[in-house]
Amino acid sequence: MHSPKETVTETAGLDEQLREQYSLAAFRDLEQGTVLGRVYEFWESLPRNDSGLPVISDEHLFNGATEDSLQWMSVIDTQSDNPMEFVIQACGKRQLPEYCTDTADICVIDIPCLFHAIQLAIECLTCKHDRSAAYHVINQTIGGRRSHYARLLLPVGDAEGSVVKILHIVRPVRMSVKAKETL
Amino acid sequence: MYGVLRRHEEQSGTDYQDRLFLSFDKMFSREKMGPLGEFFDYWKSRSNEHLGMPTIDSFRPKDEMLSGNSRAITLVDVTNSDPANFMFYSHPQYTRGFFDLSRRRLGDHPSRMNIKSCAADYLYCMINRQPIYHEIIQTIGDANRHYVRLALPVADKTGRVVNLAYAIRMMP
Repeated sequence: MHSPKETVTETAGLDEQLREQYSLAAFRDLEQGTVLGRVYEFWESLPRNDSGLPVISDEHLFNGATEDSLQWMSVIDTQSDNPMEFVIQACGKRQLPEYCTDTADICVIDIPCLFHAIQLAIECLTCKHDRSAAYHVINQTIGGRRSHYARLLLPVGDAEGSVVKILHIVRPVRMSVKAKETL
Repeated sequence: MYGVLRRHEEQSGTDYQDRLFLSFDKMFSREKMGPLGEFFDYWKSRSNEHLGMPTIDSFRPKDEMLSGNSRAITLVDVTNSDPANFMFYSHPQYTRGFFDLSRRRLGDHPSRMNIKSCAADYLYCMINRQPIYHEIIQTIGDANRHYVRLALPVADKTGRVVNLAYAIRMMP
């Protein structure tokens, strides 16, 4: 059993969200064998630049990650200093309910729910500054749409050592049959 | 509670905070005759009709507000794109056990929880170009605070929000 190291609960009208951040030790334990665990292993296997950050081109990413992984992945371009101008690009054809929008290739500020957009911006900015992976479990209802997912943020660098993108991978958290039966 | 637009509750290790984003009905009913009400009135009186907020050259609360409340106003330079680099000109309201941010960056604050929450609040105020009013209960390290905070945007001549000015009132 793991406890989150940070918990954020937000309510605004009928919207609500619970965002829990777990340690990477907890991540390794909880996500062994899942799509998040596999992408993390892929990220760890990438070549590193002088500052220790993994480096990967878009081409290498699309060739290296499996089809199953890519559908849950988006790439967030973090070259802007302003986190609201980070650009989200979907890797697969799946819609992106975790951004509360069905459209891809948008700036963070274009996410329809501003509270959610700002939370995502701050989490990505923290990942960029910390230069390390971040693992969250997020349970939210925004605009009547419910999403419950585990999410991994993985920073990727360039040759100069800056974090230029973040791989954003989600895994839907499904209620177990036993839990459903008890409802 | 009436007037709560949004509630943000956060736990990080032993640090804890509960931030209530309150309506301006609530702000007026609570602060009308107090220092935060006076601060809002001053901001409003200097607001540019087209921008909906004062420009930086017309907003000098420390020089122009008559009461001693003006000494307790914090000014934050938000021109840097990265919220961690938002710069505090002055931070007179820090309380015992809390961190003085005068002439420091937001990212210099020792509490990551506080950095992230302040960055989120400031971004919200900048993007919406509206004042924000919060009631905040927090424990950071060994220190506890319960206060209300009124933050007001200030623009440059082009209308870009370049400063935030805020004042707090400790709650009994």
